[in-house]
Amino acid sequence: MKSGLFRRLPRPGFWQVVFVILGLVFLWVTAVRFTQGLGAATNLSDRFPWGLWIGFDVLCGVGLAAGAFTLTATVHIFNLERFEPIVRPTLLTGFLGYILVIVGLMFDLGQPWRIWHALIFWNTHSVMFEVAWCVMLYTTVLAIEFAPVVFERLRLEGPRRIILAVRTPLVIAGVLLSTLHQSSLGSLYLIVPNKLHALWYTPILPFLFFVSAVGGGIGMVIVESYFSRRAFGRHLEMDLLEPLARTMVVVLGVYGLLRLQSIAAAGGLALLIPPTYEGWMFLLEFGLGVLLPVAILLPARMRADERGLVVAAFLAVFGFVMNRMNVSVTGMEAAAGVRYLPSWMEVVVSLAIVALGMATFALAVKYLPIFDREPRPLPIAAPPAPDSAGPAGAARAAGAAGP
Amino acid sequence: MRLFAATVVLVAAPVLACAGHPVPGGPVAGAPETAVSSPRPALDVEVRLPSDLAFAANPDAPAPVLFRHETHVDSTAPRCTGCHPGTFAILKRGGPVTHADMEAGRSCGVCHDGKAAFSAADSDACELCHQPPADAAGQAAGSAGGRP
Amino acid sequence: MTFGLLFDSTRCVGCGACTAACKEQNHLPLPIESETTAYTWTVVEKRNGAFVRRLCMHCLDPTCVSVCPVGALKKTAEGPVVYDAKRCIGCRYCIMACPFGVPKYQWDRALPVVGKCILCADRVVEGKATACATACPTGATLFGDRESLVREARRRLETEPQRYVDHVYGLDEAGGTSVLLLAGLPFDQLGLRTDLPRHPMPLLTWQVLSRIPNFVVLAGAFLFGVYWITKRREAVAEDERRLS
Repeated sequence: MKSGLFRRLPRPGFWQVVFVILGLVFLWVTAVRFTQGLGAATNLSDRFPWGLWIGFDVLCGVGLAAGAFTLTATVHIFNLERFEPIVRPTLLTGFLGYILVIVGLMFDLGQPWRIWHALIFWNTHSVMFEVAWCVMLYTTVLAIEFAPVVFERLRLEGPRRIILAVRTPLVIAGVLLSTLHQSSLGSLYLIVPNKLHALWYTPILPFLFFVSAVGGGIGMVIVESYFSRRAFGRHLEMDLLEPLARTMVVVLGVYGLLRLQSIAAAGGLALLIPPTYEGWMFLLEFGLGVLLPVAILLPARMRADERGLVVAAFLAVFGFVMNRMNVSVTGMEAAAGVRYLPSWMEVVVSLAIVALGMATFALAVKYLPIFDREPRPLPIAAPPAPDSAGPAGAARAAGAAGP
Repeated sequence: MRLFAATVVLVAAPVLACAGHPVPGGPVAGAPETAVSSPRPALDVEVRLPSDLAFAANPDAPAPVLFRHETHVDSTAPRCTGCHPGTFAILKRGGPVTHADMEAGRSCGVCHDGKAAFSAADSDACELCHQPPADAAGQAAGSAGGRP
Repeated sequence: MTFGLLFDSTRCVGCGACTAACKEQNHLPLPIESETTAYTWTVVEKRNGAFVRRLCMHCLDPTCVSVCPVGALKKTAEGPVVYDAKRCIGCRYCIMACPFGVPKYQWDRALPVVGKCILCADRVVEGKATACATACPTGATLFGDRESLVREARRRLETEPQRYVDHVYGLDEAGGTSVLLLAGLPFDQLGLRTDLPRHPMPLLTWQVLSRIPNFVVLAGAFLFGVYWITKRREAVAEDERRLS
């Protein structure tokens, strides 16, 4: 990308400049974080020890990569082969997503170089221990599931076949691991009934986290299809998107009912009339993230329109992100007695991680058979004029200018 | 610019979730009034100040030094943190103190500098610290000295 | 025999000897702060005219011990909940989970660790009392065997009912703690949580974690079953196509 930048000196695109500036600031923030400690780089405190990096990078990152296990299960366990074309990009997203979660953890953990301690020091009573192991194992599974794509590009038939031979147990392991830790991220909060607000605390929190991960994961698959079309001219056919959208509606519907039921059981509905601050945040999350997407997708006419699908999927993803942020931040503020707002350095790190993910995704799509079955020939054509097609578009343009 | 809008939405979501209370406030969970700075006298509580500390006299001292907590601490409203553990250890008996230390502003000299309390260098004040052996009981209490 | 502390707020005069002794015993840097931090493991607060100590409650079934992924926090046989800074990875789950808000973090360090009262575990193992109990000039902080302290607390409630609120704090809060408190004011007016469940918090996550092996077996079997059935269906359909 950098060499492309220099060769096209006349006018670097807007997004390229943004990326470079973000990258430089990110490097500086990293230096501050590791030389001066968490207090200097974040707004975290003893009253509020978990913030944006846990709430967004870890909770959302893990959840949004849930499309990977949903899709691989759909294709390789439920044997719905027609969804096969989207398995690869979804796997890539999942794998990148988990790597980026680990990057986020490297920033959030007080002593991240000790992260391997979980391998030799065990506490099987700790949900965090289970999350750590499942994430480690599942990232490995994702790497192995994704490896055939790389082997195909490198024309290594032998290793590719070996992995394909063990694909079924691998996918089953992936679904099990994913189910376990998607729900365990919710289980983390089971231990603080006196701290997490009634609108979010429920004994079925792990199950809710799992269901919303499935819904959010499907939403992400649809959203990615939209981005891929804009950036790479690749997209999903409607006959695949539509059933995905229908599944998402069902999942969101079930989730919505479970949510309302658990809140009613906790007596939390009273907190909505009139809405307190937490009440408003819940209404935003539930209204935009559950009710609206379902309402949009119920009429068949709307499901036939790709734009309607994408908008609904966006909303579902937004609702998912908002839910994780509400559980980790909003719902914990009242008991903590402080308001938490991430520092600009925390935001920079999170943005940089997202940008890194998008750039890596674009690079991978360029050089690996993600959307095609055959490896792409190295590009020799002149780069197209830069458009404002977003960072992925700029990455493609930059990548096309050089090897 | 839908990508831009999408990115904005995905960024706005977490920021929104962290956004402050529309109603100003958000009380800090009951902050205490003050720390230990102004203790209220507890009328019926018996405060057992540590016993007197006797420091052996060195040859050119007029008499051994007897440190008494009673003359330094208000037993109805004691404030141990004024001296402990910054200037003096609280868990173990400290070593002997020289006038050089005190006049350099260490140990007893933190207060006995002529400003907070009489100066340790004041030659008219020797007997205030260097007390000739009084009654046997006082001496016994003094030499028993120190904290357990 | 497991040890603990009995803190009687009605006998505390706010002198701070406990905080001073704690600083000295644990080689913690000055100053003595106004609330507990990673560097000040106990403080005396004045609330509504009374004095109350803030320190680790050394729960009988500690939440922090159960949540630490690497087992850096442990409840020893003698009673103290101790911390192994060498294991800690800094995930701060203990800080997030503790119902009493006890563990604190070194936010200012590049190599941060958690700080909290360890009930002078090394002194206790040698048969000595904690530093704070040793230094206390009024006997507001008493060190001893938990059973004896509970009996003493109940004795005080019986013989001087007008002096105390009729409750021993720590008897069964969060499943019971090794640090017990008596007070002349309602405990929530002293800044202590009175909304805690009577059972230990670790039960809430153990209910879920203990079901995992079972879940893995059953769900694994189910998924393999689905795969087998759909594959079989496909094979049958394939055969039929070839035959027709």
